[in-house]
Amino acid sequence: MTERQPAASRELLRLLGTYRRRLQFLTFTRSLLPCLAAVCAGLVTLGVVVPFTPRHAVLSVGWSAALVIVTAVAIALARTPSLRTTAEIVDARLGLANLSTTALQFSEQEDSVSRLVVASANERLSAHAPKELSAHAPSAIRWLMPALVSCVVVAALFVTKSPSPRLTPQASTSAAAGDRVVAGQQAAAQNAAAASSADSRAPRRETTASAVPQPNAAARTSEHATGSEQRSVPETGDSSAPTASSQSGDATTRRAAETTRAEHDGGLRRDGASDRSGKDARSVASSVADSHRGGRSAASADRPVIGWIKGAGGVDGATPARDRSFTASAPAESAAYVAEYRAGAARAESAVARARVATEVRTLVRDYFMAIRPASQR
Amino acid sequence: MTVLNTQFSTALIESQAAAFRDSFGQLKAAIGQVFVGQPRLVEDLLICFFCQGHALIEGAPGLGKTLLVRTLSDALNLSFARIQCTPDLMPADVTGTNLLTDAADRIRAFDFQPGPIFANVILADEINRATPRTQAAFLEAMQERRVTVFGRTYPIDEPFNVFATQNPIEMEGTYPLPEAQLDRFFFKLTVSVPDVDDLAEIVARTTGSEAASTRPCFGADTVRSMAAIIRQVKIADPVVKLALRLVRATHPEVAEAPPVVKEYVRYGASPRAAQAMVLSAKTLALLAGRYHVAVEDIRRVAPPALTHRIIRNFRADMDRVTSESIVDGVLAAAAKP
Repeated sequence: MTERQPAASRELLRLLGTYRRRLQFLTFTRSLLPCLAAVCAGLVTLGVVVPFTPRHAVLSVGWSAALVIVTAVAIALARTPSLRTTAEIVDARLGLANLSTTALQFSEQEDSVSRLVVASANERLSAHAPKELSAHAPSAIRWLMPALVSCVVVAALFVTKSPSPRLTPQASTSAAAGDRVVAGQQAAAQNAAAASSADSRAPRRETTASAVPQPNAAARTSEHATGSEQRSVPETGDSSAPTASSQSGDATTRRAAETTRAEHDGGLRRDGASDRSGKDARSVASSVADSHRGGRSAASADRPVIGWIKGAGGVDGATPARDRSFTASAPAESAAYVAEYRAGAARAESAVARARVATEVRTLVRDYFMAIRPASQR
Repeated sequence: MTVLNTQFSTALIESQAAAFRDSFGQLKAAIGQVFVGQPRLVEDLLICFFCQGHALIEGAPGLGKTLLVRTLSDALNLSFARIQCTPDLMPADVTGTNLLTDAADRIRAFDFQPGPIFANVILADEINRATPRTQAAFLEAMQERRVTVFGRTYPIDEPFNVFATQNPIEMEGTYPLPEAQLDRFFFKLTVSVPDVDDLAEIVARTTGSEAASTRPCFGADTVRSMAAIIRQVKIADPVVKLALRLVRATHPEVAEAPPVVKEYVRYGASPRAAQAMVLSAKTLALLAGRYHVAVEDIRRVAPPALTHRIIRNFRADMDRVTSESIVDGVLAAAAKP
């Protein structure tokens, strides 16, 4: 465009420029939704692979929002329509009957009809406002909104619920709580030598529940509930997150293993499936996992294996420690214990081999059986 | 000074455009005094007239084809000639011929006597009853606007319009127009059966004591100036491309042709169809008070410009697929992005 260009033509270009900016904005808004969906999908995938702590989740949401906006801006800039395309869109949307397109094409001509066309286009474009170009969501992406909601729900399910020391007040007491749980378990194990397993289990539950209050216990209970087999024991093992409380969780795990061995030595039979003949071997792994996660009672070993696999995988908030070292003292070398150990280990191995078990849970089971193995097998 | 000239020329164009609309409406009203109903047909005929095109008017007997053209010529202060085409009509009867005449000094010489083709408005009634040889006599006049007789060429004055009529149901003893001649017609217009109200008005007008008549509105100069202003209307490239797409879509060998064309068309429209569509769309734009053509103008004039230029194949005859339905298919296909 040169300086000799008539004022009407310049006005036409200015008006079309405003409409073009409006189209850019519409492109930006339209790009937000797919970008958001893509980022949410990425977050969900990341959450499955690497479980989030709440702090990480907050950071991820923030960075994702920034990423979405930047991407949408980039798309809007990259897809900026030309003036001719803008004129065609304006003609179609505002019902100008190809007036803008014609005026733009003949804006540099000097004849009278061209000037009439340009003047008419200026008049019509001025009569309308760029805001009249509204966003029309293509039908092809209308499914994105429900998909987005689903992604958010799934992402919320995968975010780690384990309280960090700074975020939840309960976390600060988790280490002490773990010790209290172990102490309670040890006491229960000692009592169990003289009492029945049912009698010995009940007071331990109460002790555990009162020791570590869990604000999300109700939600977690509903999450893992399978019929009547709901968890009545709060997950003290949640403190085994890779924080300061994880060490106490490991200690708890070791003590739980010792407790379990003590129970075996005493000839105790819990009502879990570990010692029930004909019971699915997956229950063994379940009780193992429960015990490992902070001394939970093995009474909940009847839960379906999916539940504890999910929990051990991070869904339930129990991020397994990766570098655990079991330094349990050597168990007593009774023949009954050795036989029980072999049977339990075989069942656990076959169960883990049959079912789809996460790698971390496999490691968990292996470590557990390594920790309680008889001295003759070390 | 330049600004004043610009403003003057702009005002002149606006006044010419207003005069065009007035004249068009005046002529349409004058025709309406005699010819009852069918405003779309009358409008298409006038568009064809002001675009300096020729029209082929097709309809059953008694629907007023001849009356329409006669009324148009009566409403204009132009020379009019009617050629009643019959099998024994000779080319010389159309174009004129050299006659041996006596000069003043008693020297006999051949003198060219122009035929009826040299009028401004020609009514070639029942043109399909003329032999192909006579039909061919119209070819040069319609396209080149000149006549060559015995090696000498005679120009035809503007405006020059040939309005031919033909009857589609009485095919016995007729000679269907060859494709080359059909292509020379700007529009093909179909006269439909009038509705009850129009029929009652026709009966009332033609059975009373006073015959309906009209008087001339304007002459050749006005027609020429109106034809000139039509060509100044602007048309954008996307609109032109739509017309070109429509024309190409009528050819079965073209990839973008719709299935109905691939199946039923033997040969598609020529570039003359695009010319006719653009020019008539410009007229429509002027009538709508615009100085630019819209795609809707092209769509509006596509059927009369394309219908007679599409040559159907034998299968279309068997399946009774008309050219109108094929054009509808082409328009529907062009509407898709």
